[in-house]
Amino acid sequence: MNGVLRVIMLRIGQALATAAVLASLCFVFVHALPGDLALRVAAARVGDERVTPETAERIRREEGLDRPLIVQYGQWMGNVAQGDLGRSLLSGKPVTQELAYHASFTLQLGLIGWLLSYLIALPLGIMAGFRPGGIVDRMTNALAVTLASLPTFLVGIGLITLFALTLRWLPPAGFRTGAHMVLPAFTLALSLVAFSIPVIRNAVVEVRSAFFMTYARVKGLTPAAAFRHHGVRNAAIPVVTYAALQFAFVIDGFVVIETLFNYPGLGELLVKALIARDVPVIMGAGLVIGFAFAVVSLLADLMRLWFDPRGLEEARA
Amino acid sequence: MTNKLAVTRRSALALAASATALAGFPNLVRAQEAAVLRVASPWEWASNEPTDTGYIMARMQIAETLVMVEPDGKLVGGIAESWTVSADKLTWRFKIRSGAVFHDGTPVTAEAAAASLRRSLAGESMQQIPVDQLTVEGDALVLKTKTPFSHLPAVLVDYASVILAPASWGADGKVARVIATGPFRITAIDGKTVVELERFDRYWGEKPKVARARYTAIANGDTRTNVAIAGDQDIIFTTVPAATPRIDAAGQMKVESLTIPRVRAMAFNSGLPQFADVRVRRAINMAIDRRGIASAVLRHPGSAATQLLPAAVPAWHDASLPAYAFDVAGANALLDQAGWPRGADGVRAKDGVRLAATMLTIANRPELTVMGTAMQAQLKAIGMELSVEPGPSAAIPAAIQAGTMQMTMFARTYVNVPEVIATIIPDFTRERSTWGTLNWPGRDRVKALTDEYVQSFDDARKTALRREILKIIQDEVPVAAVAWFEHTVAVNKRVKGLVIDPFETRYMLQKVSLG
Repeated sequence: MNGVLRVIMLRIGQALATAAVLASLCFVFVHALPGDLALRVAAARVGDERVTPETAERIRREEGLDRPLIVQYGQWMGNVAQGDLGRSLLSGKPVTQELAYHASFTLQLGLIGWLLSYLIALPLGIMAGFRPGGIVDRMTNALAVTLASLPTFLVGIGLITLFALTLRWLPPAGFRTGAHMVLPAFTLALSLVAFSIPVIRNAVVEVRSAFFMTYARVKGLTPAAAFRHHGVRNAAIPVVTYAALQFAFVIDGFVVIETLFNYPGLGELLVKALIARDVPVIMGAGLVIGFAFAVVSLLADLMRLWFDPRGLEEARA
Repeated sequence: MTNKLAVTRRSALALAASATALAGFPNLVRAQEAAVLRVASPWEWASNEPTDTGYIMARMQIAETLVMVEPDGKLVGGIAESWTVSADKLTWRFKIRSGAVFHDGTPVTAEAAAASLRRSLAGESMQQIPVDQLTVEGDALVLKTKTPFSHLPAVLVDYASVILAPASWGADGKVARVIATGPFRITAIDGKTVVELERFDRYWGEKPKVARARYTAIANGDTRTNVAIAGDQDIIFTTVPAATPRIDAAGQMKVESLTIPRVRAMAFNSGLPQFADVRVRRAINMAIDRRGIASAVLRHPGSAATQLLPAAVPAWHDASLPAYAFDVAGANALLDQAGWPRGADGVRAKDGVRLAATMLTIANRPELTVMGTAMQAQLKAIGMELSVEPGPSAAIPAAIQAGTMQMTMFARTYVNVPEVIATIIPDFTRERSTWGTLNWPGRDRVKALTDEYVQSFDDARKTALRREILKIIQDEVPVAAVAWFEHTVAVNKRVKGLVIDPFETRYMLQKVSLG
């Protein structure tokens, strides 16, 4: 088990390093963008019409944007080492506070949408995998292809038009009540389902045709019992890996859905920070998202080890 | 066989559970609090600083300025109950309203108002005031100016000068909590999107009829449209004009509109060889089919501008000015006369300079780009090549700073403070204005007129000066209005008594009741 612990520690170290590199790249890219950074910040802060060269100069001075880039970067790194991600150039609030607020919404909706997607995809994928080429398989395939080819905003608009504007069952936008979560969660779920159904279906098909399944059948188990005892665990390996990856993609926000539903998630925060060139928020988000991404993929690996302990031997080695 | 069916049954159960969950939500929608006045607009509560979000504080009537403006343009007392100016026109006394209290219950004193105003005066938008000194005398705030400044009360309507209680500021000099004087006070701020408000029962003026209000920022225009169709707010400011028929047809909300002194204008870099000749600028202006653009793009023919400002600001709208003409033949003749013959490609040129330009527009005002492309087609008819480049709004000041601006098209309000002169000065008297003229030689003449205007307290003389300024701008076209703005507001059928303020300084929510 020490080996596993060592691997985990190593992976967390790698995750931190990756996150730091990602944040540094954010710093480089934001400063490489054309245009005066202080002017962009000023426009975002006081509004398009009020921005003057004087406002930009004041903000440049106040926020220390006139210091050499290497000094700004060095100070940021120094502060991060002490757990301080700085303050937003736009709101003046601590970046950690901004990220925590928006991340809580993204995680909430992301988790619901992600779980919902597997609630839909698992039965459909398994049913399709049990009868490859059957009616269910063909129908779910058509559904997956259709959903995959539809842009997310179109799915969202479709759901809004039906459930919010025509049937008037649900509110079209917002985040304050459970009802507000339904349409964005379904939009997210449907966009995830498009890709997870085929993965689940293929995993099931593959496992069902495996030699050990034939053996299980030969020793007298019914197809369902064989699948329950020997299939599920094996089919779960690619599915869990894929689901974890999907969740990792979800945690950095889903800009289109957030914008359409006026939902204050991380994606929206990031896009606005990019437009406003809010460097501390962009770098902080890079750091946190990069780290979270790595942690989720580590968890996926651990889950895989749990399903398939053979990998433990390699880890010990 | 039985087992196969079992799997299917389980899946069917899961599907049924999802469907039930879906069907169970409808009632949650109706669970909204009926007594809350829900107001939405595109702008987010990004920070507590009056320079940044003071307009939301003022519009939602959380914070107030010393002087306020009524929807008819009349200046009235806000935190200052009255004001006087000395005989030499240099000393203004603003008497602080007796009985006014801040939201934390502390009285509004002249000292508190002065302390708050001092912070605002440091901001760029207030720097136009030639402040000599700001002192307190008894219950009055005394502001001395270095030179006579006749529209001082109007400038004090600027939202950047809202008066906050001394306890509002934290140790770092930033506003930690908004403690102001308006008829509504903040009870909670949820991120940048939602601000919860309650009626302030110790408000000095007309108390709101509703006890609670909620401000929601909905940045995306399509989302505002959806919310309006669903009737999920009570008042939605700045709906997308093209969506009006859909919102009205849904029957939940009705869109009301009002022409306001906000202008979609084009500006030239008059220092460029292709735009230095006034005849060229006039010709370009004559080639634009404003009515066509207003009807096809803005769906409101009445928006077509005939001069810089609409009649909504009577003082700055001169009905006797000849309207912008649409005359392609006349424009071509003017360009021929100015010595710009057509080249082989149909584009005019003179001394090796083509009559061509890139026009920067603002991407977050999508109609500007569509208007720009319409102009692109229209200007072809006079041999001008125009390319339209939408970008972030900061791209325009950046291009001006870098000296690369050729033409711009933007939206500009002329009533940031309710005296247009305060916008004319930065836009038409400087060598490089962000939202106005660039390298225009006529700026010195306008400056002489605005200098006199600012110092004059004679209404008749000021009227004459306004006419002269408007005439120069209309004749020389350093900037030309293409279309005026229709302020569109979707109003829920349960809302009674809404008054729309063309100055957009206050939403006048105290008059609203919910049916």
